[in-house]
Amino acid sequence: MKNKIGFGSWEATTLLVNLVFANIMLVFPRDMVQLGGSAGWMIPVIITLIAAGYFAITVKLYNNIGSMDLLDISDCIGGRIFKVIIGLLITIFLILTASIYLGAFSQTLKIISLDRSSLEYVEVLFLAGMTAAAYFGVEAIARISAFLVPAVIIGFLLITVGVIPEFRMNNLFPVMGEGALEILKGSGVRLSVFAMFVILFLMVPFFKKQLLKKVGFSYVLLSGILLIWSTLSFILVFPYEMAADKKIPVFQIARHMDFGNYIQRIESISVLISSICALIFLGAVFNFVIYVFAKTLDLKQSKPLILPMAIIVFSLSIISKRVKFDFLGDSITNIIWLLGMVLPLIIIIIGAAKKVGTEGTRRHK
Amino acid sequence: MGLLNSVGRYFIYKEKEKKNNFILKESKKISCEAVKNTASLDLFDKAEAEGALIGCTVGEDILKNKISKDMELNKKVIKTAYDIPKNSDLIFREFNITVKEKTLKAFIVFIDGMTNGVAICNFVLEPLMLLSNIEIKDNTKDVGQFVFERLIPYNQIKKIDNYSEIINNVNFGGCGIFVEGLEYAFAADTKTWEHRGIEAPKSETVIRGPQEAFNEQIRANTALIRKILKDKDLMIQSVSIGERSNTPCAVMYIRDIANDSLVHEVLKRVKSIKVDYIFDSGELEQFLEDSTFMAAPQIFATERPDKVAMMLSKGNVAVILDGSPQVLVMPATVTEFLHTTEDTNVRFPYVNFIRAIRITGVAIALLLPGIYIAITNFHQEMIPTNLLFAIEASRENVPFPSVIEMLIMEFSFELIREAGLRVPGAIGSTIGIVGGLILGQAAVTANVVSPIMIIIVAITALGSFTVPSFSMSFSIRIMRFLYIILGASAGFLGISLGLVINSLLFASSKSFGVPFLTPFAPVTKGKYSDKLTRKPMWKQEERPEYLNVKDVKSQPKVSRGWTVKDSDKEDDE
Repeated sequence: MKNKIGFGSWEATTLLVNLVFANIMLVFPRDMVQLGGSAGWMIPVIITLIAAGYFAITVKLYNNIGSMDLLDISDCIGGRIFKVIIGLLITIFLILTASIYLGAFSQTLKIISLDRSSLEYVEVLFLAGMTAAAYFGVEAIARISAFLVPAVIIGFLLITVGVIPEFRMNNLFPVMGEGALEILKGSGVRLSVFAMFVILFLMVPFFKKQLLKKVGFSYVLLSGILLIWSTLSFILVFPYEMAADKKIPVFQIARHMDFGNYIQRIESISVLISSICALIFLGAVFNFVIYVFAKTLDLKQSKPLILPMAIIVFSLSIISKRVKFDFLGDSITNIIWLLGMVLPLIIIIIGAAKKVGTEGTRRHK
Repeated sequence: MGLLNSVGRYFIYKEKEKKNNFILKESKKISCEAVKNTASLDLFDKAEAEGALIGCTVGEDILKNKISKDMELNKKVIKTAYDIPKNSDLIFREFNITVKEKTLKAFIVFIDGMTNGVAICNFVLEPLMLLSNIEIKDNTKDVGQFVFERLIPYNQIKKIDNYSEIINNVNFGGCGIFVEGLEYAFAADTKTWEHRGIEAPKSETVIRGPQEAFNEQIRANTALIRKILKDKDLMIQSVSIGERSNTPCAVMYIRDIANDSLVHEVLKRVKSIKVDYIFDSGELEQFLEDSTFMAAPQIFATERPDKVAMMLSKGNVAVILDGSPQVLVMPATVTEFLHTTEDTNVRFPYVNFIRAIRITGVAIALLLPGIYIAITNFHQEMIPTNLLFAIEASRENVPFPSVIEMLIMEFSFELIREAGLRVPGAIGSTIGIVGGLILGQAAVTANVVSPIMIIIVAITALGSFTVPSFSMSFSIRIMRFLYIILGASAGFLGISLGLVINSLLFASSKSFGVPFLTPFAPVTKGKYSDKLTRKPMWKQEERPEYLNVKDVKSQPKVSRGWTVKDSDKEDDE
């Protein structure tokens, strides 16, 4: 076992899958129904195929790049200034992601379970987990993902399996739902569910470069299966007219579980699942906020950044709640979110064209 | 008369006799500069300097000097070092020996009670005092060599040329032999003292497996392990710990299995400990472990020789400290704390069943009270309606919120456990009965706690008894209180927060370079099969890859030769 900081492909894959799974726990199945109607389940199929294609292209381009992350590539392409611009752009993107998800998870938890607690109290609890994760570092959060994320996913699958008796095949009709055009438009908008590709390309130095292909495709495949299954379960349980209005879809599915007199209302298990998922999501994203910011500005110490950054994320989350705007469900914000896929692609294309791999290696030596 | 005196005491004042009240005075500062600042033996020769030695101990620098040919000087050094004759168990015996028709002065020094007096008489004093008078045909001219080869028929004897080492030997039950004219002394290993025999394990009992446990004797303990392993490559490196106590310590490993850097690190850590005295391996563990503040232990402590032997065979390193019946094994990962020795000895289906029970027990011990509090305070909808009514009815007259009720009960349980351990054996069982009565019937009748709470605490207690490791059980007990508070603060969100932070803490900690959560986080890909569950014995082909052992294979792919067809064997031949 190597002692340098790093982790294996399983840890990286589970960490990334959780970033997609957080969407499922919050809004994804409902959004699919809103966009595609009864054919909403087709959108994740298309999204998965696009994501797989996207990754196939980027990984091909990565052959000329070596084990560098996006910041190293930016440094090689346009020097320190370009690296700082890209670094700050990614930092802002990740800070916004962390603050919006912090608010979303807190509000969800408040609605379904902690209705007597204030929103700020719930946010502070999430913030505590997020900050602790940052203190322990990327390696620790990836390692716990290796066993907590599978447990969380198994919990989710049990919920969906538990509602199989409630499945109504009629809900899938009409087969094309809102129409092919709507499905395609929806697929374009909600491709943002894979926006965390940016983290995959920041993670490359943490694992062997040879594992990039394995990690990336496993990430797309597992996430795709979860996205499709969650949407399908949701549509099969609720007719799409009803489903489109349902907030917190997994919780709503869980409410339909009924096994005899004893297991009547098991939906609180979804609280446990979504809390663990949220804490790992926020911990991972926040870890990369600190990592990217420190690396962008070549800071030797990153720990002193944790508390100030946490306060920024917390403040932004409070502000985003006051704006009363659905950041996760809105089409425009989802398109903006695609930056997480577009930015790495642009950098990697330029990097591959300039063959920065060899140059970069020289610089680092 | 007596009656008169007694009555008179009430009428006639009599001053009370003053008792001698002891006052603990501050220690007088004795100037030992003269002793401290010198490393020369001249100090003992100077008559005027002798006064300087009163009240001062002889420093290590002086004792590191070479032993002198001058018998008087040797006597002075030893007597001053041990403060003889004030020090009553030190035996200092002077006598004469005859070597080559020449009479030489000699003396022996040993500690009464730690040495075998008969052996000293029969194999040291008698040959030196009596046999030396017999003419022996030997051409050896060197006196020391003659004494060593001809006059001391003792099996374990060595020549030592400095005072420090001879004193260390005497302190550990040896007998120091000084002979006039020699620049060295002899140290005979005559140690013997009252000790406990090999008994059955007390805290790690098994039904199937050896019934031997370590005792306080380092040599007995090393022998127990060697007896099991019977491997010529088993190495036992001796180290002494304690500036004053020089407590013997043995570092054990199998040289062609254990990782060299691991062995080096263990030896480095053990040798680097600077402390006056060390009494137990528990103390040593705290000096060696990576993280002091982590709740979980990072070094495995066991009283079972078979467990140590098993771990050594996997590539771990063991440390045995004299005087301690617990042996430390490192590195230790989470799996070691959840396994017992019996797991290897019982059949494959049984072990996996028992491990499932044990892991459930651990989860219950850690989480059940917290989850109960979370459900009753935040997620009541999870409780089936009939049960909810029953809980509500039982809690109707209890004045405390459920979290306070739980904390009271858990605290009482910890109190009983601690009291049960501290009181003498005969009363121990009474404490259990009294505790059970107080916690059970009386507390419920008095409406201090609800019956359901008793059930929860009792199941939690049962769960905690399934934890095989004593240290791990402590860790779970501490963390349980945190989960109760978290469950009461934010329900399942609090429990999740606790689980994530706890996992982060474990994931980031290491035991001698091996992550604590290995082989689960990081996930290891080797064929080592004794993780959470265990594969059949014949499938356990490899040693744990996370120990980076020299020889990963522990058995061939086909370990059961009889499964191969005889015709195949013949073909191979």
